[in-house]
Amino acid sequence: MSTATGASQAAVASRRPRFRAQRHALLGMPLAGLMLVGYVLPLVLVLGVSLGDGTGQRPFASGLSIAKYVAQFQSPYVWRVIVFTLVVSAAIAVFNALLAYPMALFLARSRSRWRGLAFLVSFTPLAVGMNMLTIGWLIMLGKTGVINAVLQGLGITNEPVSLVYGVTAVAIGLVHVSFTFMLLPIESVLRGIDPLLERAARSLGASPARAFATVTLPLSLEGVAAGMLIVFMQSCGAFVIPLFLGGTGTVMLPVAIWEQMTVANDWPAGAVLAITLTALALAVLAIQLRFFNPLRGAGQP
Amino acid sequence: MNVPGLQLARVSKIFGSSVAVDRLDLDIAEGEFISLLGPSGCGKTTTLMMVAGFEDVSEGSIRIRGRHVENLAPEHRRIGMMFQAYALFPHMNVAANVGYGLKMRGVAKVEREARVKRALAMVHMEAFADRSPRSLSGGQQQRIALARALVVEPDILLLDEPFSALDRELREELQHEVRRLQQELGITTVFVTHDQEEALLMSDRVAVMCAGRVEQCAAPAELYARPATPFVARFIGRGTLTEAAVLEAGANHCRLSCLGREVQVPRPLPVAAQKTANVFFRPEDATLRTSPEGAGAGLSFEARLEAVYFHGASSLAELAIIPSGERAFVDCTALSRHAALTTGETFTVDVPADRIHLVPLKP
Repeated sequence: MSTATGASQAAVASRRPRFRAQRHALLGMPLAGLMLVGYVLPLVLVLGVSLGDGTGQRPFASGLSIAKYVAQFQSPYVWRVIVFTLVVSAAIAVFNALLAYPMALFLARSRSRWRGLAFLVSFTPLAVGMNMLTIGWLIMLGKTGVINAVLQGLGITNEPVSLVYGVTAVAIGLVHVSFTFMLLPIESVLRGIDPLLERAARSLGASPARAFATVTLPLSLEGVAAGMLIVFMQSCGAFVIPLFLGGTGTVMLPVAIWEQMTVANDWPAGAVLAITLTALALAVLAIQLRFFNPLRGAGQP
Repeated sequence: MNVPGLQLARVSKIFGSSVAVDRLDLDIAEGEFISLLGPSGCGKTTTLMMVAGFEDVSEGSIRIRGRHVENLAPEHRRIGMMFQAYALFPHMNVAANVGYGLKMRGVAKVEREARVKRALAMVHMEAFADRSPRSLSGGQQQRIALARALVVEPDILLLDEPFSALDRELREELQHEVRRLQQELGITTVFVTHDQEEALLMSDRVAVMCAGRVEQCAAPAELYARPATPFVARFIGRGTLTEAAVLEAGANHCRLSCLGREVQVPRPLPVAAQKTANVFFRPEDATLRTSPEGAGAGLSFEARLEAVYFHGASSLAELAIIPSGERAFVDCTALSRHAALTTGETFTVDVPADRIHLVPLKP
């Protein structure tokens, strides 16, 4: 009898989590639907268009072909744009991490009364919005802008310095707009690290710098990696900032896509670049998950 | 000359306008296990953190093995520490955790590995060297934390309530383990706890703290038998504390008027020439009876039974003294075996005169 009870209990126990998992899957349905209609479907359409061989709004002149892929990847200009996009985005991710880490440490550890204000300030890029931010930097950096006025007013320069329409302006804009996305994951991971761990390290003979380098820093790298991934992808896909703050020498992939679609009126070529951008983003995501998987450990006891 | 393992001299800690630790004096012998016991906010943890170096000393001096440390950073004090929340490094395996302190001290890899192995064997965890701390139970994690603290051969071991997160059985096992290793290695140890049972069980001496001061620092048996202040009398174990008027104070005895009776106590007043004294006795030193007639030579009074606490091996009666209503605790193991103890009924409590302890009044 006891074995029968045990068996039925085991059956109940094994059924229950699965039932729960199914119910939890239902919670994901609205997002899954949205992703299907708003992301997967357009992606399939873009993929289709990229295989066309016509131009303009009639991409399919004579059936499917990979001619546009061949043409695009033979173009040195396209390669330059791809490399430039990756290098700039990676640099922005690294620079942003260096910039955000001390701030995140301050926000996570400080009991200062300025902490609330600092939090508020670090959220302003999100609150202002990307378009306002871009216009703001145009005004700041322009030939008749604030910075040039100050430089000339102080007599440091005699004539306006060209700050805008170059890689510096693009980088400033991208760092600014993505700063919060770097800050938050780092701050959240740092806040989750028990401050007692550094004390334990100190009691074992580690100096404050060494305790930080051997305990807090390695434990916070997961947050840094998450932030860098978000910022990298955001920079790769940025459009408004490189379009308005950049020049002809700083064309990034989204701008190149836009050029092909509207200026050159070549939809398949634009679609090829869009697929390339998506593939690059997914590749970086895959590499990241290989080394820092946020899901890892979630199922462990 | 015998240098104390730890010496606190007039150590104070002042936070803004509040005094957390007030001119604390404490001498701890080399190899001694001392507990800082007290309610939360009594300054015991602050004291430990000042010894560790995580809190600055506002005034006074701290010496570990004769070496002044009050201006040294924690990493230079040669301490070993255990925390309530284990504080193992989650990104390192067990061996790396234990070896961390040796690495910080620049011990070469080969020697480090040998010492880590020995330390793990000491706490019976040698099979877990490659495991992640997260995969271990609380008790196992605390064993690793103990090995990590001891492997560096510190001058002093500091324990910050290391057992309070563990359940009863594990706690007892680890208390035994820590005490055994502490005695084997002869390491001076300061143990902070709010659990008096564990303090009495483990320590050579217990310092009972209240409001930033040490009320009494004595061996557990002394502390239990002869509390030196009313606070200690109330804080340690169960007991009955009541005031008495001094009728006559002799060199070897005193005569008191207590709870409506005259009692001759065969010991002098703790503080001479006081008009009142604190009479104190333990539950096991008093007896309970139902009949009001006849009385022994000691203290005798009537009280109303409020509750009976059954502890298995013994039973404890809580009573309200008539008419004052003060609490009295009396062992009723024998009586409860052959009589029904009904709450609300009146009983007579007898305390032999030689079992009465006189607690000094607050100076």
